[in-house]
Amino acid sequence: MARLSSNQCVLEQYVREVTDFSSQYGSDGSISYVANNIIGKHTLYPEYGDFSAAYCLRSYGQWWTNCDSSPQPVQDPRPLLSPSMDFIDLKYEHSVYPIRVDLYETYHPGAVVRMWGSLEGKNWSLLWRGEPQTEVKGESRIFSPPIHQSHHKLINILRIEFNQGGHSYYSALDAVLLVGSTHTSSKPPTTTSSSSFHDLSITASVMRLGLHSAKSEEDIVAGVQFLLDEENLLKLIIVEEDDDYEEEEEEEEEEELVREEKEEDSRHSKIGGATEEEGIKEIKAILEEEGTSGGYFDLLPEELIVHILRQLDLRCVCRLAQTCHLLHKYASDPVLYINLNLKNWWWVVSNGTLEWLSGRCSLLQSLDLSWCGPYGALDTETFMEFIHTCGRQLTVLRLNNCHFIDNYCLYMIANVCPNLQELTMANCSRVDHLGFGELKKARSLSRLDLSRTRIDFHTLQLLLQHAPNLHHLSLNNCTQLDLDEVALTLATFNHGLTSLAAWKARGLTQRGLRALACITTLTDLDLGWALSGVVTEGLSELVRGCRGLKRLYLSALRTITDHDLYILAAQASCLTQLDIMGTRNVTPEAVHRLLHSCPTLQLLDVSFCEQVHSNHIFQWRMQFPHVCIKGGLKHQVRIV
Amino acid sequence: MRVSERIVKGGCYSPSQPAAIIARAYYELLENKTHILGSSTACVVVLQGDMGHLYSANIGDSGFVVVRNGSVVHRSQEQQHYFNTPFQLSLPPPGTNAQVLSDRPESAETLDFPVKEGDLLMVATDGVFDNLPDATIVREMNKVQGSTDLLLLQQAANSIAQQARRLAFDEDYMSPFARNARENGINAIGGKPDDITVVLATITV
Repeated sequence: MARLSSNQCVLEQYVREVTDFSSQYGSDGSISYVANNIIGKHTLYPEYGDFSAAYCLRSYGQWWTNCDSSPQPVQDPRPLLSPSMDFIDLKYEHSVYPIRVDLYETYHPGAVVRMWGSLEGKNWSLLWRGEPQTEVKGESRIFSPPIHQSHHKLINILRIEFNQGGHSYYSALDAVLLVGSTHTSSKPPTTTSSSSFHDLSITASVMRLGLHSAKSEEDIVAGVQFLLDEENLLKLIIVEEDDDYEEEEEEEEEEELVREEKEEDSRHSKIGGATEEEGIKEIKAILEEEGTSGGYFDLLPEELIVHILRQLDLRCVCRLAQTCHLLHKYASDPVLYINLNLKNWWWVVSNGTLEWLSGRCSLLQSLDLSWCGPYGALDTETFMEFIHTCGRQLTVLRLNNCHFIDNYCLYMIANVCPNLQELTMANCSRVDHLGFGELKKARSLSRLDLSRTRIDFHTLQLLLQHAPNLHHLSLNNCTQLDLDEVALTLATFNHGLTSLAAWKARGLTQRGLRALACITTLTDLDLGWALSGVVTEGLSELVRGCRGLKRLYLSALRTITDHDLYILAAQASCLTQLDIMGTRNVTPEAVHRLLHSCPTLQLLDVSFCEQVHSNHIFQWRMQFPHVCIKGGLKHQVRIV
Repeated sequence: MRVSERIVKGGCYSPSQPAAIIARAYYELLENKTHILGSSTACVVVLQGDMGHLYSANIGDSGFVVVRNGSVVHRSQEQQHYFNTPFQLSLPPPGTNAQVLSDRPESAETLDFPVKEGDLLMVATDGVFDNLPDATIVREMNKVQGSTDLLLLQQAANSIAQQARRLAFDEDYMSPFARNARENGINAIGGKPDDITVVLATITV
């Protein structure tokens, strides 16, 4: 920490607390591969590898998103920012004006695509955005993306967004360092042109001098000291005036980003046609006669205007609505609000947003509110009111990481939305058996995601009994469930089930596998870290019963043997993805036979399999070029 | 132990429950991607300095002694199933569970007691206790009684380790191990070559 004068300093802080995240590889309460590992100083950097002491993302590549069982994103014509896959919120002890953020990446770097800053979760500002970097060298690095210059607000929470869709394996972060200044300049500007400069801060000037990318604290200290010198400050102000520098005063920072969108909008609204010139002359004549207020738009058929508006994203529709009465009318047409993807706007969605939307959403069918309303931006009353008004036709409802959802919300959903087919509420930790129990009224449920919630076995059993059409069930990280019993329930009541995800859940044994074998429609089974004990007979029954089995994740199944692989090779001919990471007993010969016998295999993970070495992997990659084979990394020096 | 270190550094532990640290570290090994195998005794000691109190948890035949003014005032209890077969935490290869001794971390023996300024604490593996009699250990520790000089403490620890090692390979020496063996009906003589680890500390509150 550098003290420059009595009240100004540059602080370097590591993460104090993780306040929210969308997913993690490890389990809650563990210290292996979990989000909380990002807290504090880096412990692994500059080592590179797959270490348990890092924060490890839950997925990689397209393997989770491009399969039959993955949920379809709710339609959004043109999202403002390309959708990201995961996020993590990092809280720091002291609020600062951000100068620089150092991301310590220790495995497959380059998955970070956005950084947001906020004070206590309000008024998010986009600090940086970029594309995923998939071509980065496989080594540890400190990634310090340049922070957008106009965002000098006090922050104490950083949200990091990830897109690991182009990465070949799991990505991991060791630590995130936030470098910022605690105060702005205390000197008021002396020029008269005040509106642009009232917010002049050290930070903005630091940016301009390129100090945010200075690596050593001495450089930063020297630079800030230079700025504090009164003479230099005045010089800077004069320079700014000359350069006609404008500061953004808009509350919503994405103004700049949307500017291009606006230009496109005006193109949309032009009239096209073969004899354009003639047409325009004619129209002009008509308008002069009739003097309509909607301009050229009056002449267009209603369907065409609505068709045009449907190409626009929500924000452009809102802005168009502000231009004239006619467009306001069309922008309020419920036909534009059948599919609403608010996850792509999570940072601006507030109670006001839902209140304003409720007048237009009478035809609403798909709603994605995932990631919205964190830190009190949305409350349960507003959500319930919204569902009450607009939820009758809802078929798809996504509420991942919606922390305002409580038992009352589920009561409302269950009673108002009789046609609900898909409900995803991963990480909704406020709901307990009282709320979950309400879902038994949703008889049409085909997809249910209760990952990392407090669902208990008895309530789940009740829900499963009342969900005959259930196709997709996710219970990832639900460690309080006994999976054998769940499997038995599924086998009894849910015969159409095609996918079951129970990553890091507990209690699945051979008994459970036998039960799952009765559900012949199963194609997708994620049982990573969930299975224990000898499984040979259960596995055999499973692949004989579920002939269409495509995705099978058996990560950390320590008891798996060559014999089990032979069974898979012989019976599971449709396999496209197989994960048998972390076993000692499997030999390269058995893996080879499996590769040979499963022609449709696309992904095979044999990482941390003691007997499989890099030379085997190398050979197999040559022999079976259509299969992505993960594993064979050189022996890691540190195991824990 | 590295997992224990991470648990402690992470601050999510209770100072008065070192057995919980052992248990948590043990179960955490199961969460590692690598299939970890092996077995070990364990001894964890926590000093709550502001209270002047020491908490300990021990599984197996490693242990600790606290020496004050030339005599042993506290020591850990050795846990054995039978002679030369200590309690141990283990992660056996799958399928061998029936043939392998695997004690639960919950079976750790716990002790807690007040300590004074200047007390000397030694935590060591059975290679030390099996080869050095108490008298030798106490004599070495007494030499640094009241000292906070790290170099001196290191020298004392080295000395204990070296003496244990030397005597371990002395075939004619009546080691504590040989004495115990005879008491159990086994005609043994000489030292016991084994892993020797010594941690020596002066307590300041």
